[in-house]
Amino acid sequence: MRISARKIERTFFRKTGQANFFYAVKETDFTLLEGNITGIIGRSGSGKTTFINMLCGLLRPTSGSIEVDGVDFITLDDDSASLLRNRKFGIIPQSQTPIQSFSVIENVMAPAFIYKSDLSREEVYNRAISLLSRLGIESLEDEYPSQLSGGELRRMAIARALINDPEVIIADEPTSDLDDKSTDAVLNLMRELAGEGKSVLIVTHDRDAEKICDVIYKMDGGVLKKDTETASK
Amino acid sequence: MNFAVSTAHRNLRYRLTRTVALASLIMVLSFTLFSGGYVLISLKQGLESYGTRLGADVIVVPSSSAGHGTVDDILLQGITGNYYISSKDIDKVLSTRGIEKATKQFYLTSAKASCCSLRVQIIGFDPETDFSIMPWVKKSYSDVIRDGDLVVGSRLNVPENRKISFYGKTYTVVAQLLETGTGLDNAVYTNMNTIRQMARDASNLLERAPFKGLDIDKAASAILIKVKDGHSVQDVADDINIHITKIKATSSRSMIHNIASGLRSISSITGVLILAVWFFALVILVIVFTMLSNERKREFALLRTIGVSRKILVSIMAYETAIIAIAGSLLGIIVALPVTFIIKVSIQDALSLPFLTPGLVTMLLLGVFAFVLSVLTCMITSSISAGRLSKNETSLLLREE
Repeated sequence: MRISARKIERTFFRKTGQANFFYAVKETDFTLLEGNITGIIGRSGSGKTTFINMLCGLLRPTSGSIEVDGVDFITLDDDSASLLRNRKFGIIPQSQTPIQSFSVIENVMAPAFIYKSDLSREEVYNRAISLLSRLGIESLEDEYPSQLSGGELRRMAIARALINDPEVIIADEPTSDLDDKSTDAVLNLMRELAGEGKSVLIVTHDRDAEKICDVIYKMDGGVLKKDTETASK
Repeated sequence: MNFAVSTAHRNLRYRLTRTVALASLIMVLSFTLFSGGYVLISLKQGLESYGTRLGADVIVVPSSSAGHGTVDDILLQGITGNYYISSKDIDKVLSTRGIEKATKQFYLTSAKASCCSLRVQIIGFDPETDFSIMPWVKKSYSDVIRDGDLVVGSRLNVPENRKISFYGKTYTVVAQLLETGTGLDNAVYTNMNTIRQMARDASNLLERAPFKGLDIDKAASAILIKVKDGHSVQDVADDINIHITKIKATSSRSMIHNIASGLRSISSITGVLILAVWFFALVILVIVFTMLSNERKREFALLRTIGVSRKILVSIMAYETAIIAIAGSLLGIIVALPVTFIIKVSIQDALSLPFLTPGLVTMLLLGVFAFVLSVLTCMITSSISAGRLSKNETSLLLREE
C-alpha cells in the first residue's frame, strides 16, 4: 500500500507570542513505499508526530493532499477514514496509552471488534496470542495495563497495532522503553513485515532502529529532507 | 454487544468510584425532583380538596369558638372542638337575605374514656340538606346513612367487626371515605339523629358536657351557606356578623385565600429549592464532565489511532452517561418513594396545610418527569463536553512525550 503526500503543510495557532501561528510541518512531499522501512529522525518538537498524524488521517493538513492507494485521504469523511485506519493502518503511538479497563489480551484484540469482521472471536484470539508470544509477553494476557512495565506496555501496543494485519505500520519510537533483546525482536518483526510487502514507517532516535531503515528522512523545524548521512542502504 | 456498549460497560466497572459518585449525584437530583414535585402537587391538591370539602360560600360558627377548634382547625389539623349556636341564632342566620341553601352541622368530640373506642371529632350532618359532605360520601358509599350508621375518614383504623362505641353505645361503620389531605380524614361522620343521641348520652354520662343547658335537638355547631346568584358572598357574611352577636360568619373564599397565601410561600420555597438543586447539579455535571473528558483525552486519542470514529467515540461517552444517568435517576426515585410516604404525616403536621397525596397515575407521571429530567440534564451536560472534544481534532491526538 502506497501513501503519497503532496505539498502538505500544517500550521497551528498560538494564543501567546508575537506570531499568532506557526508551521509545525512546512510544505512537504513524501512517499511511503510497499516493502520498505522508512525512518524519520529529528529533534523533539521538530514536527515528526504532527507529520505522521497527518499521514494516518488523524490530523488534516492545512494545505496539500494525501493519497492512500490513489484515494484522497483528506476528503474522506471521518467514518470512512476511521474504517480505513482500522483496516489498513497499524499505529504504534509514542505515548504509553493502553485502554486501562481492558486486559492485555483485550487491548490487543480491541481493534478487531470496532467494526464487523469476517474473523471469529477465536481466530482473533489466536492471532493475538501468537503476536503476544512473538513479543514475549503471552504470559501477561490476563493482566491489566496498570500491572505492566513500560517495555511490556510498548510490546502490547505493537501487538495491538498488528492485530488487523495492516498494510501500513506507523511506529513512533517503537523501541523506546525496550531492553536489547526486546528491541531486536521488534526490529526483526518490522523487517519481516516489510518483507511481506507492508509499508513500514518508523520515527526513531534509536541507532539500531535506524540501521534497519531502507531510507531515512530528517525532520528539522517542520522541514522533511532525505538524510543522506545516516541512510544505511 | 457492539464495541461502544461493551467499552462503556468495561469503563464504568473499571472506574467504579467515579461511576458511583456520578450516579449518586444524579440520584440526589432525581430524588429532589421527585420528592419536591410530590410536596408541590400534594399541597396544590390539598388546597383544591380543602375548597371542595368546604363546599359553602359562607361558614357560620360561634365567635366563642375562636382558638378552640374552628372549622378551619378541624379542616386543616383535625383539632377537635365542641361549640354550639343556639336555635334562636340559627333562625336569625337562616333569615338573612341572599341565602340559597343552608345546612347545619353538629360537632361532638368523643371522650378519652372507657365509654368511647377512640377520641375523635364526630361531625353530624343532615343528608337531606347537605351539600358539603354528601358529595364526598357518595364517592365511597351510595346507600342512605341510617340512624346508627357511621362513615369514617380515611386515616381512621376501622375494627374488623366495623363496630365503634361512643358514650356507651355501639355504632356500625358503613363506609370509609376517600382521602382529602385535611383534618377531615381523622373525623367520624353520621346523621343528625345519631349525633344528637350521642350528645344526649354524653350529657348523661359526663358531668361537665359542654352542651349542658343547650337545646341539643335544635342547636348546631356550624351553618354552611350557599349564596343566591346576584348576591355578594361578602355582603351576606357581613350582614350576619353585623346583626347577630356571638356569631362569626366567614366567607370560604377568604379562608381559602389565607390558606393559599401560606401555600404559595411553602410552594415557592419548595420550587426554589428544586430549581437550586437542579441548577447546582447542572453546574457540577458540566464541571465534572469537562474535567473527565480532559482527563480522558489520551484514552480517546488512543481509540482514534486504532480506528474509532468520532461517532463511535461519542457513542461510548453517551452509553457511559446514559447508564449512569438511568441507574442514578431510578435509584433516586426508588429511594424517594418510601421516604415521601414515611414523611407524609410529618409534612402534614409540620406545614399545617392541606396535603393530599397524588394518585397512582400522577405519581407515575411525576416519576417519569423526575426520571426524564434527571437523565436529560445528565445527557445534555455530558454531550456539551463530548461534542467539544470530538469536534476539536487536535485535542484527540497523542502528543510527543
